[in-house]
Amino acid sequence: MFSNIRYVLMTATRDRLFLGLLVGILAAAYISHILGSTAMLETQQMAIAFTAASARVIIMIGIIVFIGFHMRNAFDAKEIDVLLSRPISRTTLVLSYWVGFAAVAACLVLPTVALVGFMGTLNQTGFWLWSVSMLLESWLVVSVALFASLTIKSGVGTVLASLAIYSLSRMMGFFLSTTTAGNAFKEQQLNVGAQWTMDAISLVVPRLDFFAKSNWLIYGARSYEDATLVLMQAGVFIPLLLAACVIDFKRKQF
Amino acid sequence: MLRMFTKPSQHASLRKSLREPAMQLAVGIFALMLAGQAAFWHHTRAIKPEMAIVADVPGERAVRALSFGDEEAFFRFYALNLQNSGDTFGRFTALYKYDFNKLYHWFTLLGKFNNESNYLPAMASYYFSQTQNPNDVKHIVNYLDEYTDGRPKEKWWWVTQGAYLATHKLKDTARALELAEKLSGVRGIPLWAQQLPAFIHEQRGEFGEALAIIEEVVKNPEEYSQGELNFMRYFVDERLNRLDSVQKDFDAAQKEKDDMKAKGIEDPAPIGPPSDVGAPTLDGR
Repeated sequence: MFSNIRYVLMTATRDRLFLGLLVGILAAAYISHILGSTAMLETQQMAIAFTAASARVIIMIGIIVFIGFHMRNAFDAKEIDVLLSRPISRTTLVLSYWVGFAAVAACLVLPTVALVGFMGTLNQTGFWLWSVSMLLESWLVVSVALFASLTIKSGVGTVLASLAIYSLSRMMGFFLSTTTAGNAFKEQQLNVGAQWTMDAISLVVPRLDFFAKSNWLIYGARSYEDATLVLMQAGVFIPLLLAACVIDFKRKQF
Repeated sequence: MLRMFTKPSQHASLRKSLREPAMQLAVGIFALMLAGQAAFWHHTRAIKPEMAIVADVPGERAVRALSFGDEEAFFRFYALNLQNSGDTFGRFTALYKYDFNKLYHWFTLLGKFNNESNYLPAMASYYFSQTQNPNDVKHIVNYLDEYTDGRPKEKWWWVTQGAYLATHKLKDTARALELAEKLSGVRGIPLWAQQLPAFIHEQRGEFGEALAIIEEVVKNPEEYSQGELNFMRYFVDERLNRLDSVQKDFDAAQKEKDDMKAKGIEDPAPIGPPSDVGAPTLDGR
């Protein structure tokens, strides 16, 4: 298990994932700083909000692309077959992949947290909540991408599907509030149908709009509920996806 | 670097390749299309994209959807965009050319995403209010009125900005008074802000109403300094000509101030503008 985790980390280093993404995040922070300094007021708030939002997007897309192509390569190069020929269970293999990718995600999130902290913490509690939720969001994205890579037979397909789920998860709150308002369509039946459909979809899609909100960095969390929602969503959905990965992987024929 | 240019090409020479009819056709098409592109460039180089000064205001739903769950970042992005509107791509636009109705709708839309930030009221009060068309300032005053509604104590600075703009730019003291009245009886804000409705009443010749406000303020000597008491006495005496009717109140306040001084109680420190509104603070920072 540990050799596989080490191998994932080595691959990430070999593919210059850390270097590439961290350079991208630094560039985004620099541009955010410049943009923020042009604001007539609240320049620090501007720079922090732009950096936090852009760094989040860079990290999540980077993780999805890395996992998608790493796993596809592992299947194509028969690495998975070799690993399975050794005394390791399929469950352990899936978990070792998840831990490896989660370690990669943590190696990307932690410097970003330090960078945002370096730019100034306007609200201490909000900063820590943002940091923890950013880490949990990255682990949830790791789970989504790992599940997609195990179930979809193409690297590009895995990346596109993961990005679609990520976008949908980030917009789920908006979709739910729009359909619940019941005025999206003129026909009432369509509104009811849309609400029902969106409710059903939201049952199996995580609510990532609860995670890593930039306004926590500036004004802090509104209540403890902000933290509990993040912890509960991550606590439920990561094991759910891991279980789904294990079930799928166990049934796979090699 | 030099080797890159001196290294022999791995391609066949063009002269040799041109002996083939297919190559002749390809080169012919290439040259023809290059000429076509040059003609297209000549025709279109004067066509510039249409750029509005103030962008059309999107719907709230569209903005919420585009924010991908991080409304703060999008609020900041759009707010900065609004600050630069009309002054992008090498343009500099005079403020009278701006559509202030659109600006008002932008302010109210963005206010739904962040109602705490002082960025929008600062932009409205310090920058857009400088328009050469004073009539447009009514949109700014309306925005400041709505922005401060229900929270005059936290946002008193913007109430005073709105009242100032209504008085001096719009020349509409009735509108200024509507705003300033929000500060009547609000304690814990600078004394001049509490007295603002009295000053506007005085400008309108409504001396009785002005006096009533000053009378209320005078009742709390622990909240103002001797200098401020002197000013109120001057205001009532010289500008309202009503000192006789409130002489007793002023004497009582003066006595209380003297007692406080005898007990060694210092005058309260004056309250300056909040530190986050882009105005110089009392210590000059």
